[in-house]
Amino acid sequence: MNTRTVFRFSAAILLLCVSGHAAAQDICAVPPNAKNVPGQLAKVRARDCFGGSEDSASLTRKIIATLSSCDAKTAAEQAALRKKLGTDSRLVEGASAALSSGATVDWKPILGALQGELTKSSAQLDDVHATPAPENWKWDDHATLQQTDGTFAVSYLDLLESKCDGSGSDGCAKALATAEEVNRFVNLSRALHQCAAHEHIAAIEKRLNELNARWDDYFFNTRSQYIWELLINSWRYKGSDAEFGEPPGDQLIVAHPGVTLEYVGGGAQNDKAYAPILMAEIIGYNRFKWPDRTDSSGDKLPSRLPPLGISLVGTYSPDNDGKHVGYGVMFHVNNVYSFGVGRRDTGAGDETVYLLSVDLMKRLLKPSENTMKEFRNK
Amino acid sequence: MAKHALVFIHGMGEQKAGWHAPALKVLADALSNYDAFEDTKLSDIVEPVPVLYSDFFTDLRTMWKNDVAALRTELSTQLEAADVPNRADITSEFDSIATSIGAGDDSFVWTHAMDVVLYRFFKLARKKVNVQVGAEMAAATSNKFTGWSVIAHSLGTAVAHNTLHALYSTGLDGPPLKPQESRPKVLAMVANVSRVLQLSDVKVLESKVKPGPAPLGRACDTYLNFRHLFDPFTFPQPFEPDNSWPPPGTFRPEQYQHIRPSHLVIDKLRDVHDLEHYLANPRVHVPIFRGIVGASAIPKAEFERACSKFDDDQARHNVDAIRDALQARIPNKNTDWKQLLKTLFDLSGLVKP
Repeated sequence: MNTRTVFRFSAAILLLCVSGHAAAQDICAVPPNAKNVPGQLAKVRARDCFGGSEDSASLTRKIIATLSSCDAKTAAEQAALRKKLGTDSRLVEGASAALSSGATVDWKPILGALQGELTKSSAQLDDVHATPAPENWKWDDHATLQQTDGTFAVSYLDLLESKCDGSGSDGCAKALATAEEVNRFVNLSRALHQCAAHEHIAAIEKRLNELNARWDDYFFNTRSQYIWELLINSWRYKGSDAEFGEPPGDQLIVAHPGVTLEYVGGGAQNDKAYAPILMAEIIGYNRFKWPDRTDSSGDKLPSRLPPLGISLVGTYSPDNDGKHVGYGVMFHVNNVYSFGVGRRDTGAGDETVYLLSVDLMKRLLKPSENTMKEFRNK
Repeated sequence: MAKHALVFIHGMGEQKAGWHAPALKVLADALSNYDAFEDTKLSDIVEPVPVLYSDFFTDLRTMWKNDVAALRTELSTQLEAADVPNRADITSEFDSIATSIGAGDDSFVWTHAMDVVLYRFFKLARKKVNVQVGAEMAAATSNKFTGWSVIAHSLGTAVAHNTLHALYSTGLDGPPLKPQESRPKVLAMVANVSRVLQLSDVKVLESKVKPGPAPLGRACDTYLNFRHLFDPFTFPQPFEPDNSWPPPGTFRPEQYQHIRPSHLVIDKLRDVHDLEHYLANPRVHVPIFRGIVGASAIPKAEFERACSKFDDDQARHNVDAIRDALQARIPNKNTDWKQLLKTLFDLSGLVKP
């Protein structure tokens, strides 16, 4: 690489850096001679230019640095966090007071109202029992802090429009600068309240994800339900629609067809000892949530009981000798293992037959791989 | 850069990850048409948070199909072994029953309409969907975003309504979320069917899902109610509150807007219900942009110009489509009687091309 190439390369890098820097500044710039100053201001606010990551103002940088972690698990951590946020809020209050003292007369009432709200905000942030209110600090165009009568405590659109007619006057530049500061203070206050609300909101998100996992378990890890069973169990479920709720702790089994294995004799370890047959659980009940138990110190512990269920079943096996239809009782353990006894005319009179689920056969009787392969291939 | 989270909640039908992309593109293309956003892309200010709940209905159907498939295999084997003469009829009847209970071949009824039936009439399915959507929606409340809004479509409007109400009513090992802590800035209810699907204990006009000030506990700042004039899904029990909702004197007019677009830029009649078809109209997307960014970003005059241009383009699109369709039907030779007769029959059907 010769000197000229090195020079050109360095110059290109320098140009890229300069243009990048200029671009970073440009996204937040609102020229006072813009055709629509309020619109441009709203847009750059949406790009996080006031009180956010694109804002280079020292107040913003200082406060953002303290907002790096909003985690506060214990009461002591929460108190410390709120104290820190209250202190930061007073920095915003101070900056707002300074702006107000140097502001033109038409801005005074607006900045006065903002100052009052900031003072309330600091007290609210200090008080660990007070609910943080970031939503109160959201913008509705160029108005914020909506009151219960629908009006806004801070609103400057009319003032900005009256000063900015597209000519780029000094009056517009000053009004714009003040409006930008107001945006900064409001957004910083919102960020402080968001930080205070973080622990509660994160806990709700975590709980909802846990609850969702329990609903998934209910639908896909308990005994499967056909659509009519879902309807019947829905009818039994008493939880209100006004709230999220826990899934049921039990289920009715109704007219549930399935396949089971019938032990036809010849030794439990014999591959040929089991014949798959059709069956229907006519009516049954399966419970998977049991009352908590209490230990010696009175603390509640989860029950040791596994999911348990029972069903009255009818079986159908057209390939067998004797009568094709039989009946019996099946027991369910852990939602997947089922076993039972039935009576069927096997051709040699009514006999007791033993029924078991495929999962149970796999677990207890350990049939050969070939048997399982044959069963799956059917 | 912290952005505004835009939660998309789909309507009926089987959806896949990324289902929101066409709607997002319509919004992104539209935003670039407005002066204030010449140098700004939608992705500079908004981060999409697509919610997917149709996978639950798909999983339910898959579970039923698997159960029934095992049953059918065993039934066929048994019938074969027993040499039952009419076994073909029996298995055919079995397949027909399986389809009618959602465990057979997929049909429009089971992949679309039954989502609505399962959600509205099967409480357990509804509770599960609400929790799932609540969990996904909660991701948008993170303090990494500057705020969040919701665009819900069709069945998704009922889901969004019920989920939001439950979010602000349920104490999950602590007090419920308060609207002052976090709430959607804009709740855009596109093809709003929340009223026809409303529940006896969460009526849409009595719930917490109202626009207005956060200190009053309103669950959203701005509620946009979109019902296309020719969208038949929104006709039964329409969401048409009278002047007492939200309570007068508690909100600005911009915070509740009832918008009835009537544009038709469609290839098939059912497209009138599509989310993208709604969003393409400035009368729909401009209130959403204004709600998120601020009304001044798209001033009244510019909005009116955009509407006029859209209406002109719509007329041109429809005229072009009709011309192309007619052109394709005109025979090359005026003696091609076969083609000419076919065209005449087509036209007498008066079907939109």
